[in-house]
Amino acid sequence: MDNCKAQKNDNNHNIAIEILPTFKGKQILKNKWYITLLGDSIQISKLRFYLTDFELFNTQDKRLPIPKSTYLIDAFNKQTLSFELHTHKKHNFSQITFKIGVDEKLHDAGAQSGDLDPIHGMYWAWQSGYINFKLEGESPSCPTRKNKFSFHIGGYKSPHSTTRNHTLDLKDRLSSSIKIEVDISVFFKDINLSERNQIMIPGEAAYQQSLKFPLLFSISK
Amino acid sequence: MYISFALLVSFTTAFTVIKVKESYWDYPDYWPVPVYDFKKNPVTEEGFQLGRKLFYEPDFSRDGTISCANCHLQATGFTHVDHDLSHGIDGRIGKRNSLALMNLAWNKSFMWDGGVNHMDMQALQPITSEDEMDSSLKEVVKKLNASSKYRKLFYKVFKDSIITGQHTLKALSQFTISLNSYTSKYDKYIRKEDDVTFTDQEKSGLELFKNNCSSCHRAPLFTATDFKNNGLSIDTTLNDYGRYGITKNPVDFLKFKVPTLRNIQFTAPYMHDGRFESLREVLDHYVNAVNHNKTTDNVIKDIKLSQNNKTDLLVFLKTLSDFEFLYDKRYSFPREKPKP
Repeated sequence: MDNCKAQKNDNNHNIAIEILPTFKGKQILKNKWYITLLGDSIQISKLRFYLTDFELFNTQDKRLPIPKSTYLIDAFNKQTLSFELHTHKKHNFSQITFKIGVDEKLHDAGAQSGDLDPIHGMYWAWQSGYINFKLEGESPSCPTRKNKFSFHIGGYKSPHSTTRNHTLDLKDRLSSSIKIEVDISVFFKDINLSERNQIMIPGEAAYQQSLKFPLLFSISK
Repeated sequence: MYISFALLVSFTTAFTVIKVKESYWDYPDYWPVPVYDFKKNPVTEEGFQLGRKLFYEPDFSRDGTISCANCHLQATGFTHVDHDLSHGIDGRIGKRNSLALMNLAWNKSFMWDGGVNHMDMQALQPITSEDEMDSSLKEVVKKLNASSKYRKLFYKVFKDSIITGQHTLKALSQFTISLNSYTSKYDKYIRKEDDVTFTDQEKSGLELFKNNCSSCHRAPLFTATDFKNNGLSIDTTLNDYGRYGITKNPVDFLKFKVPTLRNIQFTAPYMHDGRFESLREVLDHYVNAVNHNKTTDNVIKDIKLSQNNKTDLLVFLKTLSDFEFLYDKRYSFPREKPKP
């Protein structure tokens, strides 16, 4: 990461974030087979999700919200896997927090711009709201057309909101780059693909699945 | 509500038009405050005209054959006359009767089941439905960006010549949100405008309406912006459970949006599946054929109307026709001005 420029200026500090989508620690690749905890063989063809509203906590526990930090992550589009958070002052940070998904208030606030533009196919047409997390692929265990599984996790209304907050402790407080691993094997932890291979609507199932989101994310060693 | 208002133009006699601040948009002063947040999308003349062009743009569909206007024709209150279910690309038939478009700024939700939560997002449904336009917002925006004419028009409105999904939806809203109907004979009668009077039959119809219909079809919008089960039997070829399909809440089983009755004379056929071809059939349903089940609205369980009552009601309903709206040239297909 090239942070030389940013570090020269004390008033403008950039933190480089890198997202590492993995399956049990190994980088996710298309057309590669993985085996879930419950023994299903899977391939992943689509993995897209929102990370939004980043905040950093400095070592004095002061909260530094990062305005306009909204990112649509696509595991198979390298450009989306790294971005920089801009802070006004150089700090040592002890924690980073963010939302997995889009703030509930933005789901019914009309057409948004940038990564929230409905052009990205992450907004439902027939039942308004963002799809916070989209995971598609195939498995011989799925008794579905072309053995496909589709998890489109969304829903913003109480009690089935699927937007989750997450906090990670930063071990290396001096670093100006943070690597966040997203382990998709955790998503399938309790999923038996022969029985559960689709979630496409808001509701209890989507909510329950979203509760696992924070468990997917950790600081990469 | 973030909207601020300024009283501006005073009309002929008893009523004032409220103009939404910094917006090319108005409504009568005695109407409720609109739901649409104009602060996030102020209507301008250029934005309205761009939205109008988009509304009539067949490139919204996969093969360039279907525009919004295909199912929403101005002369019939912006709905698809004579079709029980709307149909789209390749002659495919949809699952529901297209809704009339008017006074949309007061809607909290859209579609017969209320599945769409914002005017801006409404267009996503027909664009992506494989029975309607069978395209995607991404594809539509790609086509628009390929047109230098559109890029210029978008630049004028949004100061950005790269067309985005957001700007496409907002421009379209600027047109659809402006389809306001408040100049029917009924409106003028209420406002004591232009010496408009009601006949005895129209007055009788209005009284019958107040006593039998107005709890759901509330003036001045002639709708309640919520959902009711009006006792229609289930069409087993469609098995459409209405609002329940969205909320999965049993209390919403067979409930559908209460549509406005403005311009109802011209928006046949009626109901979410277009099962009634005439208003007489609709009244016959309410009097004789209401299907009773757990979610059927109590109000409609004992509507009693004589044949003469029905005739008076039908005469009254025609006073809700707004010919200035139905033939307003500002809403019609935008013809290019001939070059001088």
